[in-house]
Amino acid sequence: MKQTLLYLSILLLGWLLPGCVKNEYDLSKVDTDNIAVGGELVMPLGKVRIDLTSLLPGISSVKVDLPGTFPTLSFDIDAGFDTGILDQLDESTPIYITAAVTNCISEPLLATITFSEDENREAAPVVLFDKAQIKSADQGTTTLTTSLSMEEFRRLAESCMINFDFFTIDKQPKNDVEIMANATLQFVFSVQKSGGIKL
Amino acid sequence: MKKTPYLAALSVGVCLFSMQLPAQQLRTAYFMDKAPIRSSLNPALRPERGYVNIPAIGNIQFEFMSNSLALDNILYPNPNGSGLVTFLDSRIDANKLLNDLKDRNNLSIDLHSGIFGIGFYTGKSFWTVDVATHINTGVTLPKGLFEFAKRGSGYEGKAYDLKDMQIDLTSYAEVAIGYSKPVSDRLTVGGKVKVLAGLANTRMKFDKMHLQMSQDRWEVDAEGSLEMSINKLEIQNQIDEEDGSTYIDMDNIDVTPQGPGGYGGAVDLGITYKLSDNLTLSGALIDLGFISWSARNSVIGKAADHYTFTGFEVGDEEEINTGDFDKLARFRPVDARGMTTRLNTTLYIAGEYTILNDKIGFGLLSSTQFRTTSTFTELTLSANFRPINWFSASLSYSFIHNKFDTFGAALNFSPSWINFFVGTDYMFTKITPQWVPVSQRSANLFFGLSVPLKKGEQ
Repeated sequence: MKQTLLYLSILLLGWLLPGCVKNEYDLSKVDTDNIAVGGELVMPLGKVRIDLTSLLPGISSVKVDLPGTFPTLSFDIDAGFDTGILDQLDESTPIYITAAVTNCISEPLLATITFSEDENREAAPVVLFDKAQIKSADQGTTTLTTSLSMEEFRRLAESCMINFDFFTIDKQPKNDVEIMANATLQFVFSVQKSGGIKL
Repeated sequence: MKKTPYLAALSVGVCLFSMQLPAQQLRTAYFMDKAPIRSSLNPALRPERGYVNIPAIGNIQFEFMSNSLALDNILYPNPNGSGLVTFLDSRIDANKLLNDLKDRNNLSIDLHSGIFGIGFYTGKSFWTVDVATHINTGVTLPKGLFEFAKRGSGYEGKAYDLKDMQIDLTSYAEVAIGYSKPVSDRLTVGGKVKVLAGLANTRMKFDKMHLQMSQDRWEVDAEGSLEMSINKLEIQNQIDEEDGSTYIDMDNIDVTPQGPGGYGGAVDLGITYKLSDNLTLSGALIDLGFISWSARNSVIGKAADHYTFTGFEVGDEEEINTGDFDKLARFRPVDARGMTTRLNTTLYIAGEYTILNDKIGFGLLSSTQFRTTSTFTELTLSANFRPINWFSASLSYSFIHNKFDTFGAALNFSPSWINFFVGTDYMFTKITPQWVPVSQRSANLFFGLSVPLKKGEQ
């Protein structure tokens, strides 16, 4: 009697356990090829800060008399920043740029901001902003956003000139326009990546 | 009918003590009057007969418990085919994982191995002598860590507070002598004194881990501590090339223990009171004790660093990129001092109502374990069957910690020559082909083999 009950219990256990086994949870078949960490990530690439004071030593402002056309203003910059981190990213990853323009001009204008390898612009410049509206200095800081391809960003990183082309918004300003010496431009470069970083 | 107020009061009392989660020892066996293991749950509970555990396999206990994570939170069926993928697979929706998580997610694995054990009656007194080893491990992971892994920063940036990450491990051996005796026809008291030899104690904890991510900077602010106590522990220090400070080389830890790293003691206290012929109340405090680890076997380190990454900087005079990400987990040695760690103390409060001349009993048990990383509470309802002299069985249901799809079972066979016990609080309703529970946040398995001795005077 005792042994029979013992055997029956073991048989019952042996019968129940296979019914509990979930073959779809076979731990020998774990696919780890698609592991990614981070979901949606925003990652800083770097900053470029330009003070016109340093680009125009001894000059308090650049005055553009009216009426007339606005000449292209080009300044030497010391770019040449390291883009090695881009090698870690997919070549199709866009680079996002946020620009903060402060105390730049005395009247609101449209501005095209480009980076070029030389003053003569023999190589096609990288257009960062095309006729973007810039607030006047007394209207506060202008924030602009855009994106570049990775190839464009690499060219920008090798640039040594920053160029400004100004245009009137809808009519000729009443007053002459001054490019303020204490203008600052800050460009923040970042990457927005979906799907996380694959491990 | 007179018992109704007692049962109601017991239920309310038990519920008041039950606040969070589960597990620790085999609660299902608490009311099994023939199982030797019951005296380890409450020293005032005595098995019907004395016993001698068969060395090494006389008493083996394995437990896993978590307040949130089960295997099916970590692994998911492949959405595009057969097999499994991890929760980090980009095809797995973050909400599938995150909805089940708590703010602090605790996991622990405990192993208890009885080396020697004997229990015997002298008159009405019941004595036990046990030699055993314990390994207790615990991990605490904040929900933010999983959220970061799945969702990242978003495109607008995000801050994560990852404080209270912790890993700890304690291992010790114990020699325990227990004694219990009926004080009256209704009241039985018992106690157990344990001498403990600490084998290893390690804890790594980050009290502060703040992660801030935005498009212009990533910042991490961390403060942590490391404590290690093991006999003959030798750790090499490295020199920081930048500031000349020393830090603990985690890759160069030499452990060749030749004895305990610390000593301690603990007591178990238990009481049972037969309120009536059918109703018995009981309570116990188990592993109320500590281990004191000597300073000469201890190493203590502190980590505190701030890391900022902004990428390249052109035009700014001051350098903004600071810190070294690797340094966040560099622990600087501080003067070693003796440490005292407490055991994972468990509080049991229970009541059992029996019918049919004690052949069947219904029990309600509240167990609360006070761990170093968390407090686990479980409420267990059990039906206990004692149909014949040499066989008993219990079925239990634990409310709080098992996603409402598991139950416990324990069997005790005690023919004249052997006593065989096996039980779990979380019967495996779904297991992998490798016998790993799929959807349970807790699992335990207890096994015992002993030779029965003579019956005692109950």
